[in-house]
Amino acid sequence: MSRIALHTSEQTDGMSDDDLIARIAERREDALETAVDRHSAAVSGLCHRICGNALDAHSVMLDVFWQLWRNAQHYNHRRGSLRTYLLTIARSRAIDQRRAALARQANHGSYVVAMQQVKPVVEPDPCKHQMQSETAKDVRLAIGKLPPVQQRALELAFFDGLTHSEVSRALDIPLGTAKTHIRKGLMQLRCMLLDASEVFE
Amino acid sequence: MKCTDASDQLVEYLLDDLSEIEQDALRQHVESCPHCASELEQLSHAVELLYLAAPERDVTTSGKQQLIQQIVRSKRLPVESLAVNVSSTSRMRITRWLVAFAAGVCFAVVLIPWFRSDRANLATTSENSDVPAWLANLEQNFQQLKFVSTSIGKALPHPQAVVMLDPLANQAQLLVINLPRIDPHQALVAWVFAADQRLLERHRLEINDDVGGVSIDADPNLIRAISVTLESVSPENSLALPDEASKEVILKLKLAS
Repeated sequence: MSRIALHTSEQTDGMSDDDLIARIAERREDALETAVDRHSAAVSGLCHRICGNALDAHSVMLDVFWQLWRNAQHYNHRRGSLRTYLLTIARSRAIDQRRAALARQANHGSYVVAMQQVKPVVEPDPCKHQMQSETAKDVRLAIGKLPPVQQRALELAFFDGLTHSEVSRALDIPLGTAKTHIRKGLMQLRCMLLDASEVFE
Repeated sequence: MKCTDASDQLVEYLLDDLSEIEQDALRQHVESCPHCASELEQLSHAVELLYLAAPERDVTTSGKQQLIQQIVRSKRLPVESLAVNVSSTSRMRITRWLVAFAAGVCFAVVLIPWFRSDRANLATTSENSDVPAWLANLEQNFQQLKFVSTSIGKALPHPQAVVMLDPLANQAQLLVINLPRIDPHQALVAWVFAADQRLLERHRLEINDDVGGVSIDADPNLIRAISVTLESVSPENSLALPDEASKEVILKLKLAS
């Protein structure tokens, strides 16, 4: 595992994700508080971006941390950091929420017309794309060096909550090509960041 | 499964975009294929890195506290207290479900706000515009809804809704208690959103003075969310403009998957 990956699991407050999860599994509210404190900004940012409104985003965020509280004992650190675990759930739930909203609109006739005139209930300053750490800045820089189509495919798939099929339609490219761009984009991103970490060593 | 097929699905697996069957097939292949296992590990690492650059949005300290309280308190929903509020026939039904409740339970609380608006204004607008006033005012209503929904952690205003799941009977039941008397031209409609979106279903709630309930024949393990909507109902049982200002709306019930 590279140095960069280690940064994701070792936090400045000294408590690793594993410790945190173990305490949440013991139903310790202070551990949940730490997890919320540590990851709510990322979960909230992703939920807002996918759902497009504060109400649904809050609902999904509540669901994500509720899942953590209820199922902490099932968390498997080998499948990724706590941040990735939470963001994966958040993305999935936010997609469901968005589809549900679309389904309701489709079944409500004039409601659709009205919703088109309604601004989403979000604060004036929506997702701020803050970079919380130097590593995050490095990652953003590396993403910027990817070919534009790979950048866009990754953003659509991971941050806008589109399935691969939806990415292919959004970019007007065949499904197989969309999948290739996403996979190659991820692999190139990893290579760039690994190379960068070796330079700093 | 061939390696090319597996490789094709690895990212979707990491994104949790595959069906259960597809996930199982992929898992089996990866366990027996070092090449694909290595590729999965590399992609997993790349996703870790990519998510470091995920968009972030600050949550206020009070917002975090509220979130925590909502989560922690949600486990103590006073299910027993439901029986106090319901009619005898419904109580029998609930008792049966409470037994099933022990087998696999999930619950959530929904708050059903009723929005008021000017009836005369509504009528005028309905005659002269394609968009009724109450829909045009939806933004304001949604803000109210947001305010109310974020207060769930502090107070538990009525009406409430509880979902009980019975995996053995392959059923889920939704009860809404303490409803105000429903206008005959309105109905509560439960939308069931399954994990697999193809299983989207719609159910009419049975309403009496203080209890509404609906049984849903769906695998509880697949249900992701239920939303309850107050809809207007014309004599032909189709969607129509409400004759009163009760609005579309409402909240969702989140279930553990």
